[in-house]
Amino acid sequence: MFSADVIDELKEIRSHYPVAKAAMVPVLHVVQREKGWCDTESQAWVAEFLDVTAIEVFEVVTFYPMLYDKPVGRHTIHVCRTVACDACGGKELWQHLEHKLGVGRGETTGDGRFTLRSAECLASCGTAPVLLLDGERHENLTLEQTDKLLESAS
Amino acid sequence: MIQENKVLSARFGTPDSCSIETYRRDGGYQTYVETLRSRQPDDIIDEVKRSGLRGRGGAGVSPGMTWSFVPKQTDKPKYLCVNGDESEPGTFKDRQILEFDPHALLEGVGISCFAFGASTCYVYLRCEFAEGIRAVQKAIKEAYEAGFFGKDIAGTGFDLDCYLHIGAGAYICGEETSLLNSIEGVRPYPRNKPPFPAVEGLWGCPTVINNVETITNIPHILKNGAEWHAKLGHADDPGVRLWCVSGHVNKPGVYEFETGFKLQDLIDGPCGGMRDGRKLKAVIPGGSSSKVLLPDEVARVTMDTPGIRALGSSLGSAGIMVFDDRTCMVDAILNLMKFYAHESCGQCTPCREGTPWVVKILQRFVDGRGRPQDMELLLDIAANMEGRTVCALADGACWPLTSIVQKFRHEFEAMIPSAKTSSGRTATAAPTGAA
Amino acid sequence: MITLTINGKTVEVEDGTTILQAAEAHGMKVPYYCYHPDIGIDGNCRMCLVEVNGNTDKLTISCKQACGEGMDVQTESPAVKKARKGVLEFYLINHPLDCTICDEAGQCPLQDYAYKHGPGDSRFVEEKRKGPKKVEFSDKVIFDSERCILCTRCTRYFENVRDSRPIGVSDMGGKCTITLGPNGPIEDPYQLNIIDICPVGALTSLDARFNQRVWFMDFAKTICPGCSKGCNIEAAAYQGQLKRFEPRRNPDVNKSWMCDDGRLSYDRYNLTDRVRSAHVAGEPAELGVALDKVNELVGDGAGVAVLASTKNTCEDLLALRTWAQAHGVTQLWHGAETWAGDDFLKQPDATPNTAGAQGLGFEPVPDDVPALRGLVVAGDVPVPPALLGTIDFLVHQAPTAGELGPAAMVLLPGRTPLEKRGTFVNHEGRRQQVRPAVDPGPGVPEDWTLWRDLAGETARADWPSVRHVIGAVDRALGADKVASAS
Repeated sequence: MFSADVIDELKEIRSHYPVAKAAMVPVLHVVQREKGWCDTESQAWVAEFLDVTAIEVFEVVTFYPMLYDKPVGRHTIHVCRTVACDACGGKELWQHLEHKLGVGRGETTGDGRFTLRSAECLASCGTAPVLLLDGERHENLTLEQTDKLLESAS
Repeated sequence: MIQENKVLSARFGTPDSCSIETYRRDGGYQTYVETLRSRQPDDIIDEVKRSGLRGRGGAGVSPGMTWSFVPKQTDKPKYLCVNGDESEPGTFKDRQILEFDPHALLEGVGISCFAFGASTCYVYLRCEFAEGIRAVQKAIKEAYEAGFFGKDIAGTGFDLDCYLHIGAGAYICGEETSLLNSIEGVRPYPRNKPPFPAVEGLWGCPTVINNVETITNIPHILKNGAEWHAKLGHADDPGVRLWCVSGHVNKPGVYEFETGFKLQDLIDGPCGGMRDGRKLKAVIPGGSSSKVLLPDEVARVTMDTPGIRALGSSLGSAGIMVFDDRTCMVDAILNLMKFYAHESCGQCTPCREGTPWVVKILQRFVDGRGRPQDMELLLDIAANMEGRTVCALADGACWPLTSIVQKFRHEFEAMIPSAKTSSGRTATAAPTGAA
Repeated sequence: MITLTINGKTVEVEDGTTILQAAEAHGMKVPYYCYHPDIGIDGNCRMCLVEVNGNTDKLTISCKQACGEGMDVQTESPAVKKARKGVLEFYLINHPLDCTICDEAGQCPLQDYAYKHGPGDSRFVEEKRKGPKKVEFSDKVIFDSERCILCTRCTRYFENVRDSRPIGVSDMGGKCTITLGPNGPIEDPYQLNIIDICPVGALTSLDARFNQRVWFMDFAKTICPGCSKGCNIEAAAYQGQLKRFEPRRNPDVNKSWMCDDGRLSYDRYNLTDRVRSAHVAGEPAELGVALDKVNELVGDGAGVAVLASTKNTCEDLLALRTWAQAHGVTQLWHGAETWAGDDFLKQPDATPNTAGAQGLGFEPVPDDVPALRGLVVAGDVPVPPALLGTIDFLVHQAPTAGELGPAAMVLLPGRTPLEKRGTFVNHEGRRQQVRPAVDPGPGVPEDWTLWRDLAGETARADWPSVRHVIGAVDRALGADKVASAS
């Protein structure tokens, strides 16, 4: 399922805890990095790796917004939705992206390039509006800067 | 005019501030090593207690007190969890420490663990902090290499391991017992207390959970002494804090001040006043889970626990959100309540059911279907949530909600279609006034 | 011991007693959903909030909080009542309120508490949350997420009692749902217990669904006859037909549980082809005539054996023994029926009263069966062929004629365990009371009366009612362990 390097990385993570199950979220992050999302097969693998039942993995995956239990596009955009961004251009940024990409909340563009999601407060309220592109933060965004940013992501 | 006192943020502007070389060049880790060699754990706890430091995560509990609740005689391992889940809307200070001075945090980790006998520390960071994660990851590696973590630190026989633990986008994980469950790999529901984590935390072992900024204060207190800290700012809530200002000001950002300054001075001075010359309408002063202040309250409030409590609000996580007169407060609280409804973990009933109900009612106002009785309904729903749940998330949702309903009632009334308002006035934009 | 006051009343409790337990023990009932004495404490439902030491800002969950010395607890203060009403309102806003078609109706704590503590009217004018309905958790259990109040008793039952995780909770906040795990349908042979512990109609049994309203059924507190565990049950019947078995809590025997096989066995006792009168040589006969015939056939008892089913009560068996001994029959044997037991409740002995039979002197059928002149079979029991080889006559007493019926010189009517009155002794030696859930209808007297009448005048005079036989069994067993007859 994973390369030897990745297995080593996962074993290292698991060794940080007296109970293997505690490595659940960190391990799922690695799985998601490798697979793009936490598919059922990977969840079963994680269950075995951490000596837990499959549903214990499922319960955790479905809880956290940043663990994906459904496939996503090649690039994931998280636009901050919460009050400070909302008051300082976040709403306009969101509408712009919805219009530009032609998708709604949580949806993926037809070409599989972008998944557009909203996020709750990204702790960058002083530099609103803010989004994450593939996990990296971009602040003080104008609509033009946003367009350029998207162009950079193939 | 108020002056910044840069203690925690002193190194934020330093080139290559995250590297262990620049940190040590600036005197970093000296306090840690000296403390390990020359101080007794109880003596450190006492020093921190006497400093008057309150926790910077939101609850404002003295870390020295928390440490003193950890059992001394126990066969179980003890843990420190650094809470870097920073997700409270309006708050973005811990991120600065993580991104610009991670070694300062780690030095605090070392001293704190030594103080109450922890052998392992988990630094819990939200996964959205990609840059902070990289910086802390590298800093931990450097600290191990330099012998500040690992076995027999500085030849003192003190052993300490420090690991990064990454969350996955849930606000609730900032609640200390939820954070423990998140680390343990189960659904991160808050735990009913007692037992308190200091006695039964991670895997049933004594565990302390402290905020990033709290821990980063510790080396400074040990270096300069409790008396130095106790004299900073307000006597009953001393110290420096990283204040996060966002919203409709000209210069939002993180500012470091001693407690006790006037909020109005911060807005007018360092923040450059209101954006576009607009009028101030409201401030949420301590992260979204605090009660809103009106302009006349902003004009007189001092930013320290006693000062802000006198107006019924709280300093929380020091996230100051400023709203100008174009803001629709019903819209603003709808946005916030969507946040709480989304972030409610779903474990206990009042919060799981109550927060989405409030969203639906507020949405009706915004959609032009508010009813005169809805304001009382909102307040009563809040009364049925507050103090009735496992953790404080619902309380945190109720405080901005009730204060906005009470202080901006006229804005709600103005959104009720065509009918007479509950006070008999016709629904039009009414003058601002404190409830 | 700890002394505290609850609603002004001073009470003394053992160390570690929770407020909820203390209140309940002293007649002050606190409502709750997520707590269950046999699953444990969770603290999510917020129904059991009480006021401790006057703190109305933060109420305390009484299920988890241990009593403290000098504590002042209020379970009915204005703050508590308002909180309860508020919590119930939260439950009801998204609940479908489809009690009209819900199987839980009539035995639903959500209904009961809403009636007793609830708001009485609705302030909710929004659209209710929609969720998955009619989800098959297995071929036995159906789940309705809209009715679910997320108390998690079901998931915790599997986790804490069964040490397995077939179902769990998915998603967060208002989207939280109980969900089947990736490994497919629940296979646990004790899964139907989640139906009983579900405090609403979110989990229903495919077997019992839409079968009968609970308030139309009669419930009898009795013992499951399916094995020697002696699980305490409530047997429900409607117009003489058994409709379901449900476990009845007994902390010392089955706690709140029973196996699915036992639970679903009720229909086995809904018989269509009853023996409704005595028969002699295949022809219907007066009961008195038939009984006289039995005594005539048995004669001095030489070469005659009795084989009794261990689904007979102790009282049946004592009466049987009394008659047999009075007529010189000394070979008293009991039958044996087995199935696969397990390490939870199910015992390998698939009958409820082997211990009782043995206590009353009945022995297993010996390996070397002596040549018999006659055999009296009491109850529906497999008969080893060796017993039938040499006999001149067979007396058979059973609810249905079965395979033996046609061969019987005398055929007598009998009752099923669900029609009996008396006691069973379980595999641990615990004697428990059996009560009739259904009446067999005309022509089927209680089994013990048959043998009593057969035994003669003295027995008839000594045992005018079952109470007297129960007393006689007490003495015969030499034990005073008459069970938890609750």
